[in-house]
Amino acid sequence: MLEVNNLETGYSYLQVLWNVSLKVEQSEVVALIGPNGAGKTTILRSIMGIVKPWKGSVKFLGQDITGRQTHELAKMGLAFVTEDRNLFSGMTVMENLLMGGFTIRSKEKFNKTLDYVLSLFPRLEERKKQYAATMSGGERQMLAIARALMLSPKLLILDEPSMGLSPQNVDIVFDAILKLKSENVTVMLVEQNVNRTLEIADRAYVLENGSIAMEGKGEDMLNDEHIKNMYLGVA
Amino acid sequence: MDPSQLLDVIFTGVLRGGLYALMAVGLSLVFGVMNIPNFAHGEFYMFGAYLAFFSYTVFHLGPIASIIVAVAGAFILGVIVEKGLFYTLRKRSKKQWIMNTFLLTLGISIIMQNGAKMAWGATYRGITAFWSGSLKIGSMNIANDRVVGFLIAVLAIVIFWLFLNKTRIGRAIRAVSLDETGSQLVGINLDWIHTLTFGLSCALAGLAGASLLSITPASPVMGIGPLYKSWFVCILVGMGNVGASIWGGFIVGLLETFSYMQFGAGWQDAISLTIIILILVFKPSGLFAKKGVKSVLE
Ligand SMILES: Nc1ncnc2c1ncn2[C@@H]1O[C@H](COP(=O)(O)OP(=O)(O)O)[C@@H](O)[C@H]1O
Ligand SMILES: [Mg+2]
Repeated sequence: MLEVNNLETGYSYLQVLWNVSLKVEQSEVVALIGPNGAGKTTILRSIMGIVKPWKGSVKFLGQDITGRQTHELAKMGLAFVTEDRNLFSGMTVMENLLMGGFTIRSKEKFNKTLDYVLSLFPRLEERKKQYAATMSGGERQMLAIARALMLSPKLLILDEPSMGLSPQNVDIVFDAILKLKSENVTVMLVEQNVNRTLEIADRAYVLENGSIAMEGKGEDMLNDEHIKNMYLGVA
Repeated sequence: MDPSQLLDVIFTGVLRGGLYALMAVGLSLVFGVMNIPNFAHGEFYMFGAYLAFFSYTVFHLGPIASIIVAVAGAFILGVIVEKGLFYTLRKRSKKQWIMNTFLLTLGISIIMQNGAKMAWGATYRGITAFWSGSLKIGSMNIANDRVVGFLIAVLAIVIFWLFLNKTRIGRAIRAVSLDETGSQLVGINLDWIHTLTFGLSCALAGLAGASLLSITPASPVMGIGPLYKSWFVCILVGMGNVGASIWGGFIVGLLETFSYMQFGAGWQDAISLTIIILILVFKPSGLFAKKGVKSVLE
């Protein structure tokens, strides 16, 4: 479904990614882990057309989407929840969800998606009229995921969704991802919470210093010595 | 000041305020959505006035049709300027964006003023009235055109407000002013929204210039006054806050009229500006700067 081939890119003259290739198949949950500053976010940004690839290509649903504009990718069904969330803080929860469904023109489909998203995050239903700016970190993360789901994405890309959340809210986020997985939504997940991520991921990639250092099944990685030492904190 | 005078101040102030609000809404919108401090806003007002003048006197269109021509013309010119200049600049570099676009709008302003002078001369081109007659309110006779102009301004502002808050495209404009990346991620085409926003802002300025043609005749430099007034309004309420700029328009209109009636014409700007400066000393980011809501400059 998504295919990144030999991707290289960076910021102005600073190269961040070297020869990165990865794949996400239909209905898979694929994790991307690695230390801070490895370039995980940069990979996601280049997939989404926010950072232009220098070399290599990105394919989605068989089409070459390398360097295509972000809004066109959204229309194709790629949803990206960024680290910064990029919510519309001066809008209400409901307006944020309305904007999430910007590309959906059928009222019926929109209402169905909205019901589904609100059933996934009942808290948002209670907060419909609240401004995004005044919500807690956990609620903002829920809203960011919900807004992305309003697009009825074919592939949902999440960048550190549990970052900065209380343990309770981390549970809510991971529960939501599990629920999406059970509904066969395709997810690409970047996370620092490696243990829980590998538990739910079908496959995972490890990015170190801008290159893919390892790849494999989620469960295999949980037992890997290198992963245990580096990311799971068990000696 | 006796009660009847106070009533005069309120009426005159509100009528003026409608014009300032109409101008300020467009200025504020362009700053909020595109981060462009538009110093050519007054020239679109001027352009609207000329279009209405020629439609009315040369082509003998009716008042409403003349105003519509002016609004449409200002919109189209706005779209051309956006696509030709700001879009091109945006594709090249966003470095020093505010400074560069500020200089660009100054250039546009000078070109449009001199273009108008070249094309139509430096003389005033006015009409006696779109709607002749006047309305007697209290001790004052207010020209019908002023009243209709005010009603048009209020109507335009209400429609525009509904557009921004209740329609899909209007909401997209607000979304872009709040978060560009977020907007693109939900599928909004930034370039398209930018062009539309600039066009609409110019259309509102054109509407203001056209509907007050009988009161302020068309001339190449007629836009300077309204430009600065709308800047006062935007600075007073907080840059880029579209909703508040409506109230700001009325506040500035009333302040000015009050100073004018109380201290004479020579004092109106001095007094009203002093009050604005005093307000800004205590509320430096503007009267209605919202807490927690990201402003465009953050
Ligand atoms: N906008 C940016 N401009 C310049 N350098 C950046 C920018 N974003 C990230 N970087 C740099 O790129 C490298 C990779 O960053 P990032 O992709 O955010 O890593 P990760 O998400 O894995 O923590 C880091 O060295 C970071 O400092
Ligand atoms: Mg990151």
